[in-house]
Amino acid sequence: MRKKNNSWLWGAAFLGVLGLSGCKEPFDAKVMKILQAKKGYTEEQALVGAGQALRWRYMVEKDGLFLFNYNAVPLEDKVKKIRGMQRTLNFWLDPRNDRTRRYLDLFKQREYLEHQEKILEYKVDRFNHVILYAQFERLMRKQHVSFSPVMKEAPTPKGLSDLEILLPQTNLTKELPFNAGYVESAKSRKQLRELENIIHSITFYEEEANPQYPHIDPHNKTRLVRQTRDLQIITYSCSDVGNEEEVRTRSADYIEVFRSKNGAWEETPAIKIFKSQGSELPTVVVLDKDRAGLRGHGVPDLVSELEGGLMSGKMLLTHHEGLLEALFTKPVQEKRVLPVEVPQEVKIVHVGEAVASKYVLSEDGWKVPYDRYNQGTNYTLWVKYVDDKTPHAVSPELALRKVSEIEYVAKRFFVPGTRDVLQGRLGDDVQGRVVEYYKVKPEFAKSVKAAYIDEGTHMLKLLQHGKPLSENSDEFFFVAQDGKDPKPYMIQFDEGERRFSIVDIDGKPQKKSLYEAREEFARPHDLDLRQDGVVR
Amino acid sequence: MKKRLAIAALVALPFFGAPYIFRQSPAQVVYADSSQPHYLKHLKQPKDEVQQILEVARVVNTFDGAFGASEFIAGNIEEKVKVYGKDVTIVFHNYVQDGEDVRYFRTGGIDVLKKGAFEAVKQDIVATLHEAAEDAYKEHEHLSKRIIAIQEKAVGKRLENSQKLEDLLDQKVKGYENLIVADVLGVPRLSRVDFVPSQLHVGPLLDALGITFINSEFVGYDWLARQIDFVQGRPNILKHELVHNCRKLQGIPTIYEYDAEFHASMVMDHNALWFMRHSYLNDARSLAKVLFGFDAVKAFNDSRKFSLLPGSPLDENKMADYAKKINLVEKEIHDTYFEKFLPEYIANLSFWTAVNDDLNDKNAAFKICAWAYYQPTLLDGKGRESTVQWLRKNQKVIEEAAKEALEEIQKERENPQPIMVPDVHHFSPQEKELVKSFLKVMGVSDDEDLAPVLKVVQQMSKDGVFDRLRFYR
Repeated sequence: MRKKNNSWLWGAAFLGVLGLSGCKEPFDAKVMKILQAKKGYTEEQALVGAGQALRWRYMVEKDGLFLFNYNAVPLEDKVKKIRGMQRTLNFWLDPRNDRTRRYLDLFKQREYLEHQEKILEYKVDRFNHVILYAQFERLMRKQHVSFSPVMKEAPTPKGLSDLEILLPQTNLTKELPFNAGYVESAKSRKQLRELENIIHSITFYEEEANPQYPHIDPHNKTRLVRQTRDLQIITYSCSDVGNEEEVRTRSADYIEVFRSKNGAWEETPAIKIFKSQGSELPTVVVLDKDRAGLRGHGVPDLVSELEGGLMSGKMLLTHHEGLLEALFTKPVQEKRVLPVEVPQEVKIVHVGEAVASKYVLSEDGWKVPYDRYNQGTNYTLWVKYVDDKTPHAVSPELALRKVSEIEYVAKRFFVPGTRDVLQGRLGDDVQGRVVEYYKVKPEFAKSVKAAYIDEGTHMLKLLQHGKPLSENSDEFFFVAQDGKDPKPYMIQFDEGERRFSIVDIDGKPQKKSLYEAREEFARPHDLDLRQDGVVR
Repeated sequence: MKKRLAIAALVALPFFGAPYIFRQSPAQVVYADSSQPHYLKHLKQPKDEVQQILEVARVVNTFDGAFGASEFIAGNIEEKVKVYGKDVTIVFHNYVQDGEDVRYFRTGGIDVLKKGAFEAVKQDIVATLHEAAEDAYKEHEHLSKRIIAIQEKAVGKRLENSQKLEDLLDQKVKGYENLIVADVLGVPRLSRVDFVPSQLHVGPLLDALGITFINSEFVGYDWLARQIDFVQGRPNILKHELVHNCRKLQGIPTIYEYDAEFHASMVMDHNALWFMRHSYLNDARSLAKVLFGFDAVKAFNDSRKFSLLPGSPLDENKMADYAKKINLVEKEIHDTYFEKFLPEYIANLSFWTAVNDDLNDKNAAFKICAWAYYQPTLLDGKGRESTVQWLRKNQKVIEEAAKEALEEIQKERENPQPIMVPDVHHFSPQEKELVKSFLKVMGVSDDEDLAPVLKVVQQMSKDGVFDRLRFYR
């Protein structure tokens, strides 16, 4: 006789009460179980033992009192916890999640949660600074330490407590300098001598304010722009013994890399490479991705060790260019774009009546409202054969099929870092669940027996009847829609409560985009390319 | 992530279980002008604790429980009031204005409240909300000062001469837009208004005494809860909900990191029976047993010799005796929670949330805190060594067990076990229908991920919850 109740939140209320949180067995219950089962303790003795186990793990006894041992948990665990809280916030703030979005908007909590995100971001930045410094110290001293769950002491550099780290008045940059004694000493004795000074240009994509926002392009506050920047690599000797010629032949003691800023060099190096204790060559890298003037500049983002070390700065160009590129590859955070609520309209077409084109045409052309969904290789490939009803995901497995013609190849984009090939996870769809559709060049589309991929190199392999195996980057096989670079002939994406296809029918570019036609359809709850990704 | 949604709402459950059967209701009643709201008429407020427990039990027994929870709020009477200066909309569910009168839609019928009778309802709720907000605030009045004292002790050497940490709290954090020092140190700086909801929904709401949707300032308060609060002479249940309502204490995301129900229960001035039985107080009972030697389960069984479906005989003398002891225990736990634990937990939040996580226990931090301030007495007894002496002898064995438990947790994390969900394809049609109707009753729609729900059901079945529900009906 109870009233039917469809509200998800009411249902959720029950679940909360019934105790989902009790899924994992807590520590004290485990201790009790062990003491009773293996040591023959009574239940009461085990209860006392479980409490004492907490004391042992998290307290120190001093003058008859029990004091909390804050060193019992390493900073890494604290950051892990904070990152978990960040994921919780991200879950709530994700505009793709209809339920949380509506909940937050109903109660006007979005801004509050974004503020909480900033607090956590600050905490992660501060703790990470100290974690990286501890790592730097260990690498410089060639110490290798790992913290096991039963270890009770995880000291921090200079004995800094959590609160000291979090207190903004603590100048971490000053207290935990990423320097080496031998370099500082050579500087103070004015014995730091330049061995090399190389200028090198590097090309990368940079995020900048979008000048078309919000009037022309209301969705993207920023855009990615191709940039070229100069780097200056300076190699030093830390000894002035010997004449000029002798010094020149020496291997590097210390290397610095500077970024250019508006034609001038930044004051502090973006990369520093030190010699660790007892090492002949610089091996310990300290890298700062944040440019001068930005938050985080002067605080490293990465501390690592180069195997073998560097004889000279030139070796950075020949052996470790990836390290230089890393200066500009800060992961771009996906912006949360709230969907625009489209008023629902009723469209009735009686059978037999003239039907307007399914496409809405635009002289300017239609665009995808998300400009950073494609970050290189963050997609899975799907192949549709003409004699199959639905496309298949391209896997690394070579599986022969009956000879057929490829109708199209689709790229389904996922958020970088969310795909796990070993675990079989396809990855979380990017915002808008963007899928690009490509036509395959006729010489490769026909008589296909198998299409598979090398996950490591991202090379697509096509096996055609009577031909040798073709292996190349996937775009090599695709048709160019505008006669230039390979481009998708169709792109599908969500916007608000609808899903759209934008299509290039005429093969010519429009004023602002290649795609002159747009079709609108219902936004599927779960996007399944085998059902929802069909060509329309 | 379903888990996150699952605790989007926090409810206070009547521990007597969920009534289920629709009962015939009496004919329409007309309430004339009155100084007392219709739902409190003829209720007593006994000062004696045992008599109070019995009056509450009778109130629960009269509760129909066939809920008329309206899916839509619109159409009910809404009153806008100010509570400690904050605008609050009170929504009286199932009350509809009808000229001068108010019609009240209760289970199985409609009553009519004359103007004065409904005025009494309004006044009662507004006064109760004031009282509950004041009480909830009072419990936390000194929290910020205590947090600051702990933090100042830890960072004092970094402050300039005669500088106080409190004076720095409003300073901006360089490089982080809109952040101030109080934000990054987590000092909540509470006021009464933080506990006051924007919307208070009263009336027959759902199978719970109260409900709060986190970060929403939306609180529900059932008539049964109001009746229990009235009998007890203090708005315990509403106070509990208002702690959930305070987002500075229990907002997203920190609410997920500790036992928020235990915290909200600590502000309640429970009677002995609540302490003995409410599920939110499991850890309080366990600590009372190990630290103070008080076994609440035994106390309950002593006071109620046998459980009988139509009603269990209560030994009033024993209950009265245990009530005194429980008051002592509760005071210790309550004071430790607010004076020691909560300030310490918030002051060193990064540490304690990691501890809770490491130990798979949302209330681990409080347990540790209690063990820091009390010596266990559970094994004390005539002719026996004290518990502390026993501990000294057994220290090594306990350490080994602790290490083994920690390693076990670590291993479980490295190799998480998949959630065991019954394969519904192998169910018989009857079984499928049964599961479907159960989920429907629970408000779970067809398109939801059922795995978490089924896991809870499995756990309930394993724990014998269904069997107990039968008794409590």
